[in-house]
Amino acid sequence: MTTDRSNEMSATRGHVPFETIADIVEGRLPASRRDAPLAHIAGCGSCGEAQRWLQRTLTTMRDHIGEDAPAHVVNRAIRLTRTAVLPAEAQGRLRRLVAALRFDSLATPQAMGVRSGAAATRQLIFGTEEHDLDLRVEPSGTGWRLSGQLLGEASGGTVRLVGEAAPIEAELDESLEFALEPVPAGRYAIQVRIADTVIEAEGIELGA
Amino acid sequence: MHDLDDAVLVGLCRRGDTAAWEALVTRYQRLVFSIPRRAGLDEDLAADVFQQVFATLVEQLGRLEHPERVAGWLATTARRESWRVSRLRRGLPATTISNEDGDLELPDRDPLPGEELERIEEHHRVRVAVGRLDEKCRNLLQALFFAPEPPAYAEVATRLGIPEGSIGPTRGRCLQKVRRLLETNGA
Repeated sequence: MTTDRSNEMSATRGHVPFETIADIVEGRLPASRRDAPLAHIAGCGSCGEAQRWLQRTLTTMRDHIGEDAPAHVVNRAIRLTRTAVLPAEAQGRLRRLVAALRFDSLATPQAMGVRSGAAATRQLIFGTEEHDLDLRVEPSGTGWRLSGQLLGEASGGTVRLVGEAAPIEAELDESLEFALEPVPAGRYAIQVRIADTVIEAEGIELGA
Repeated sequence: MHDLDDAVLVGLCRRGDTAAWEALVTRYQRLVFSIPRRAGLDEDLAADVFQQVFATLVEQLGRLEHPERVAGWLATTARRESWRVSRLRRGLPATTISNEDGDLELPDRDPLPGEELERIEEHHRVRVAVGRLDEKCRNLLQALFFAPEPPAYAEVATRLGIPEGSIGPTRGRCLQKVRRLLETNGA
């Protein structure tokens, strides 16, 4: 009995060797030598799982769905860290300002004569020396809608909401206004980037 | 560097290790470029998406709460950026949104359906696992399984300078290593 045949026939004594299962999946095991291993695989959980894993993985390997980025594109991204791992602001090229909370409608006592009841919209105002960020938070479906306006000198920019998940972004329109929705519950920081400045407001809690 | 897992690589990047950053970009370049291309963007626009995604990652490195899931973060960010660029190209507003589960909900046709993204991500997971193998295993599995058609063992033996009879057993051991790597990374 050849080594190959004894390996395959070990199915009657134990499990089918992984190498033999790979041969079966690849169609490299002659038909005359498949019966015993296949019979074992059909009734064995771990050998069956190995066969399924091999079928799935080898199919995936041969799936030519991806495309490599051109070398110059990769190199350009690699060079990002020559400026950015050393933070841009350390090189004097980007100002990062933390905006202070100046007003929160949730913390403001209701004026006399105003009917009680929770306002649907919460207003937050954050400020730096040169800009204010007027932020409105309101329920939207099962999440939240954040909208607002940057007050002060600027000619366009972007807004980014940063939390645990991937960031959510929007452009500032002509009036320096923006809207982000729906935003899931969580704790966020909002970053407004204008020219060479990033204005950041932290600690924005959106309840579940 | 190529055999370090994602959490370790991200940690090194956070400490300013440029070699780790290069390894991370190299590891995920195919994933991040494939997503905008499969979404229908041409090479130039895909390159812009690629650069923006990695620029965003540089900015967010310190905020990633789960560095071991950087692959998912990159895929989500690439998909979102591809959608945004696609909409801008059509003159539509490009505000990005997500639902309460963090999934990407798009107000119009998604240029990259979820199933296709899953296929890209799965392919990439396997390629990354193979990329982390030792050179002998990596070369063998790439020769056997990354070609359009299954090559003859004789051809592979000649190309790699190894005995033809060793290919089957070595292939089995190398595939088991891949399986362990994928299981370790939760695949």
